[in-house]
Order: sequence, then structure tokens, then C-alpha cells
Amino acid sequence: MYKILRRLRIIIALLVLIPITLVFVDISGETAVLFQGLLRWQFTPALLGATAGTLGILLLIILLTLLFGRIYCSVLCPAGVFQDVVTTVANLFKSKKTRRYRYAKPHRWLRYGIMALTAALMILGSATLLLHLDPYSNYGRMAENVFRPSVTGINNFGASLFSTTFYRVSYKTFTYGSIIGGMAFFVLITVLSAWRGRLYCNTICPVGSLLGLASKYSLFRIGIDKERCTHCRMCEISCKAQCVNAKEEQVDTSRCVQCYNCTTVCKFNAIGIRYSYARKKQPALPDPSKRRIFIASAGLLGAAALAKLVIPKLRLSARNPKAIAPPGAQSLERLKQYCTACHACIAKCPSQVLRPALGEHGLDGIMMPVMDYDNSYCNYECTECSSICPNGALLPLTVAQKKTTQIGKATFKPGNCIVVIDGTDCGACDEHCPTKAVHMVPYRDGLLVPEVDTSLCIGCGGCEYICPGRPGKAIFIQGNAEHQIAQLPQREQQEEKNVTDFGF
Amino acid sequence: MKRRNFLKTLALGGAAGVVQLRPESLLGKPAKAPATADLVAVMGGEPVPLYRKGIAAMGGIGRFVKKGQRVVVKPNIGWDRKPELAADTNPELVAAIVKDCLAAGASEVAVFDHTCDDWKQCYKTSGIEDAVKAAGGKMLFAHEEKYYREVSIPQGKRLKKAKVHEAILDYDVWLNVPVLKNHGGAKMTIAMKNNMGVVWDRRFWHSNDLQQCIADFSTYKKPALNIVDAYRIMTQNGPQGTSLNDVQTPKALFLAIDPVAVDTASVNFFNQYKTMSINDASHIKLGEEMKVGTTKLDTLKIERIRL
Repeated sequence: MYKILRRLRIIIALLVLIPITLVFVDISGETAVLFQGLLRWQFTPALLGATAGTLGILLLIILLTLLFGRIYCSVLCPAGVFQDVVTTVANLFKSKKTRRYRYAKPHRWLRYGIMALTAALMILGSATLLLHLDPYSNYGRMAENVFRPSVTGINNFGASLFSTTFYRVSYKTFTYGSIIGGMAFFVLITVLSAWRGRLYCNTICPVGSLLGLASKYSLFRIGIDKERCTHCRMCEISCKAQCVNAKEEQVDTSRCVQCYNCTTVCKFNAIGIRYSYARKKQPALPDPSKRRIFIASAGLLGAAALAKLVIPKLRLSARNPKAIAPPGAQSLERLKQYCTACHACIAKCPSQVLRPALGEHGLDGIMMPVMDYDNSYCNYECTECSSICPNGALLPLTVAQKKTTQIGKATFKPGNCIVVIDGTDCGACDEHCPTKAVHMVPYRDGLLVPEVDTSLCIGCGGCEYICPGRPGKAIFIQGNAEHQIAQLPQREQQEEKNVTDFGF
Repeated sequence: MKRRNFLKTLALGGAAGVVQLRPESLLGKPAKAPATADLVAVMGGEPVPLYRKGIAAMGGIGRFVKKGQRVVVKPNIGWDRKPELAADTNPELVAAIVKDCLAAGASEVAVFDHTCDDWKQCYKTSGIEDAVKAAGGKMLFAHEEKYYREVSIPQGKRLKKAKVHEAILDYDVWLNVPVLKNHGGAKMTIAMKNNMGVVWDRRFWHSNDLQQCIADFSTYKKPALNIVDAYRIMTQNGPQGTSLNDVQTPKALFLAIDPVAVDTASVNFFNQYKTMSINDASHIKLGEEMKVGTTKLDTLKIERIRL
């Protein structure tokens, strides 16, 4: 029975991991729409998006944990499943001896400390720490900044060989920072999982810690039958979470990810899922005194409050005009509250105008999406980023709403404008302006020069992107810290004319 | 093209176009070459009939496309807009041209534009990708610099070299199919301006005397034929437009080999809707100065057709 259960676990896990990975690495952008709903089944997005419609999913994940333990970590979490894949591959290169796991003592202080600090910061309105620790978001960043560029490179090599069938894919979202960040996580979890299985999940991951706490009260959990156990240690050797203590016949439920490896290898049916509600008495784990936990929590909360006070000081560029949050974010403040920088929006953006922020949003906004008009601009008819965001950091917009969502305003700097400095026609900005916030007005000698009506501007950046001004852009967007509503473009009433002549 | 070949194909193509290959008329009497016009203007019909009448008056597509040739059709697909908004060339027209070229024996008909908005969305929303594929043509990629090759423009005054899409360089026949629009920068965008979509770096044009650069490029290579879509035209807020309110529906089409002439005629036509002087869209006059063509329409044989 456990064999089937284990296989089922593996199949479902792959059925989740592969589509989620596709959302990030499918450079054609065509499959993302099919699978993006899965992102909402991640714990952190469900938690942060609870007010935006994912509360049900959050409760389901918690209920699942209270029933069966950390199923989430084994089946739904892409970072967790990815580590299992790494472990499996690594085992191919290991000798029979080095493949063996041994029970390891829990790092309770580290685990719950990190979790408490993350939670405290969130309560105080900053997702900064969660952003760097959350397994789903880290997986997203890794997929977006390591896997996707690799796929793009392979595709473009193929496209140079078969140029009429395969098209080249642009890669405009490049930043060193996000590649280094993505690579760092990739190396970290690859090494950790190849070395000691689910070490990341059971020491660093705040989601793992939280679900670990919840699973302590789960109805069904793995336990060892003392009568049947022969202390052969097969279960302990196979436990990638290193939570089975065969010697003392105990399983640390808080670290168990319900992989059913142990139950599959046990020849004596001694280890298995036990109904544990009736057993009031836990197999006594060395119980850290409740008082100590309380004091520690209080301390952490204090530390978090301090951090919260310090973090605004770290916002190097709180008023950086380049801090342009994507449509649907509503404000920079709100983005920082809900975004964990999974980069799903960046992966989905067909114009590739979104890229990971480095300093633009300040230090606490690092890796969050920022609009960059150097290489592209925001398509007037497009709402993809707000449709994919699983966290509710970007709230869904209809096309009509997007067309009046002002994320920034254009500013004209005549000193850099071609029309002014060269006395020749240009109008590239006007050409790219979808709302005619930028429009051409008479200048001199029949020339036209741009003028900006900021009430119409939505900050799409078309003008800034195309501006050939010298020495710098003659027109550029300055971000709105709080997004505004733009006026609808004026409808210059035009009569339907009935012309019957050719005019020549 | 040799004069003899030209006349032959003219006769055959013309006959095929006009009599639609009725065998008895081909066999019965020697096909009489209809006198072809320098400039054809058609008005008052749907895109496909407009094209059929227009191309027939130009001597049929066979005059421009020979059996086995590879044809590249370059409409304006610059914007992620639906056909009704007239920001892009009419898809029905493009499809009719593709079909006609294939019927004339073209081995391949390809369509592309270096779009302003995201290329995939432009190709899709404009309706052109679907229409072209249904007509048996194919869409080419033009969204990356790799698809362009540098050429020099010996007669260019400001634009001395440009990276040009490989299809323009490699295919046998280039058909230019712009849509008639008002334009904030160049004042008008018609046939000559539509060529900006075959080069990679447009910013250079904008920053080095846009009007002169447009004229310069037209000295480099002329399309075999210019077919100006004026089924719907954008009279204001061009080239992107803001709403249906910027659009008029004259249901017209202009054809000419001479890009300056077809642009001149189009501006004159446009002027009936919105005041526009040929002098303001100065790339047209510059083109004439550089001997690309003529703005003097009275020196041309013009055929005006009303459906």
C-alpha cells in the first residue's frame, strides 16, 4: 500500500512541478495561461492573497496539514520537489554507503527563530524577509533567472540553424543582480539537498517550519510500532528529512514531509501512518519549555519592530523616480507588503518591460518587479502581469481599468529634444503614445514639438523608450508612489465624412 | 525587366485579370494588352473587390510576380490594434494579395513588419497573421536584430547605411502595402514612410532628420509595387490612434509603382478629410528631389475607378 502511496506522491509532485516550471520557462508564453492557476496553490501566495480570493486555498492547505502532515512540502512546493529530484539524481552518483541518511537533531532555535522573525515582519507590513526565504518565490526566481535564460539560449541557437521555423526570443529582463540571486539559490538548494536531503526545508524555510508546527497536531502521521521494530534502521537510512530516530523508535513529525520512503522500505510493517488523535501523550520530544519560547518570541517581535524602524532608513531611494511599480500594484507601499518577487509577472510580460528591481524600490524592494523603459514599454492593451500575480500584489485589472491606471507621468525636457536641438521633425514619442497625453503642437518653421498632458498619461513609457534625444532622453516617466487614475483620452468628435471625389 | 517580357506578361496578366482566364477568349483572338495606368485609384467597395479592380488596371499581378518567384509583402502591422482602428493594413487586402501572388505562380509569399508594439500581439490582433496563413502565405520574424543585414545607401544624404530585413534583400519581389494614416512625426505615413518597418534602427531616423531619412531610404530600393490601403484611414491621432473616432471609412485603394506619386495622390485624397499639405509631409517632396518619383500627377496616366 505504501508503495502505491509513494508512487502517487511522486506522480502528483511531478504533475505540479513541471507545469509550474513551464509557467516560468516557456519562452513562447503560450502554456503559461494554462498553468498559472497552480501558482495560487502555493502557501505564501495563498497567505498573502487571502484577502484577494485565495483564503479557501490557504485553509485547504492548513486542513491538509492538520489531517496528514506536510503533504504540501512533498507534493505542491516546487522547491521541495525540485530538491527531491536533485536528491534522486545525486544518489545515482553516491555509493551505497554515502547514500544513507542518519537521524539529525533538529535546529529548533534556528528554525522557529527564522519563522518568527519572518512572521513578525509580515505582521508589521513588510514581506522583505519572506521574499528571500519563501520556497515558492525562490523557485520562481531560480526558474526565471537561471532556467529561462538557458532555455532562451538553446532556443536562439536552434533558431540560428532553422531560422524560418524557430524564432529568436529576446531577453530584455536581464540584470546581474537577479541572475546572481537565482544562481545562489540554485547552488544552495542543490548542494544542501544533494548532501542532506530536506535540510533547507527543515532549518531555513519559514513555510516548512510553520507547517511543521501545524503537523505536530496532525490526525494521521508516521509512527513506529515498537512491537514489530527490529531496529534495522532501514527507515532512518531512507529518511531524507533525517527525522526518523530508529534507535529511540521516534519520528519528529514537525520535520516529516510525508514522502513515505521509510514506510516503503520497512520489511516488518513497523513504520507507517498512525491515527494519532487519541494518543494524547506525544512520544516525548525534548520539549522546549513554553516560557522560553514565549520570551524568545517577545524578543523576536522586538527585534522585528526594530528592523521595521530601520528598514525605512534602508530605502535608499524611497523617492527614486525610476521606482515604477507595475499596474495593479496600486502603490509602492502595497507592492512591498504583498510581493515576494516570484517573478511570475516578469516571466509573463510579453513586452519584457518588467525586470527585477535592484536599487529602484529601495533595499526592501530588491528583486520586486520594476518597469524599465530602456528596452521596452508597457503594451496599452495588455494586463498579463496583473492576471498572473498569485499573491494579489498586483490586483487583476480589466483592459479598461488598465488604460486609466496611471503608474507614472511623462516629463518633457526640451533641451534634449531633436526637434529643438536639430530643427528637424521627429515625433517618435507622440507616435508611441496610446492616449495622446503626448501630442505634437506647433513649434516653429512648420515643425511640431511634443507637449504632455499629464492628466491623460498612464506612464506606459512608450515615449521614453523610443525617444532618440541627446544627450539623454527628452521625455521620461517618473513613477507615482501611489498610482492614480488618468483621464480617458479626449474624444475629438469627428463627423463621418462622405467623400466621393479622389481629390486629384 | 526586358521590355519584351514586360509586354508579354502585361498582355497575359492583363488578360487573365480582366477576362479571368476564359479559355475561348485566350484562344480565339490574340489578347489585347489593356493600356496600363501609372496610377490607379479605386473607390467604393470592399477590400477584395477594390484590390481586384485595382490590380487589373495595373496590368494584373503577373506584371510584377513571375512564376517561381519569392514574394515579400510588407504591410503596416506596427500596432497591437484591431483592424477597425485602421492602425494597421487591412487583413483582407493582405490576404487577397497573398492569394493573387500564389495564383500567379509565386513559389512563396511571406509577410512581415518590424512592429512597434510586441510583434506576436501585433501579428495576431491585426488579423494579418491569421489571414495570411489562411491564404497560404507565411509570416516572417522581424523582431530581433539578427534578422537584418547592413546595406549602404549611396544616394542617402543623412541615412548612409541601414540594417535591412533579410527578406527585402533576398526575396525576388517586394510589395509595399501601407495603410493611409496621419502621423505625429512625419505628418503622413503612406508608402515611403512604411519602409521604416523594413529597417532595424528607427531611432536613428528620428534623430537624424526623419523626413530626409525617409527620402534617403527610398533611393536605396523601390518596391515592385505600392498598394495603399485606404479602406479605413486614420485622420487624426496617428499613427496609433485612440479610438474609432480617429477613423474614416472611404473604401478606397491606390496603386502605383512610383512611391512619390502614390503618396502624393494619397495626401490629396486625405486632404478632403483633414487639411494636409504635401509640403508638410516633406519626405514626399524630398523624394521627388532625389529622383525617386514625381509629385506632378498631371504628367501621369491615372485611372480612376468607382465601384
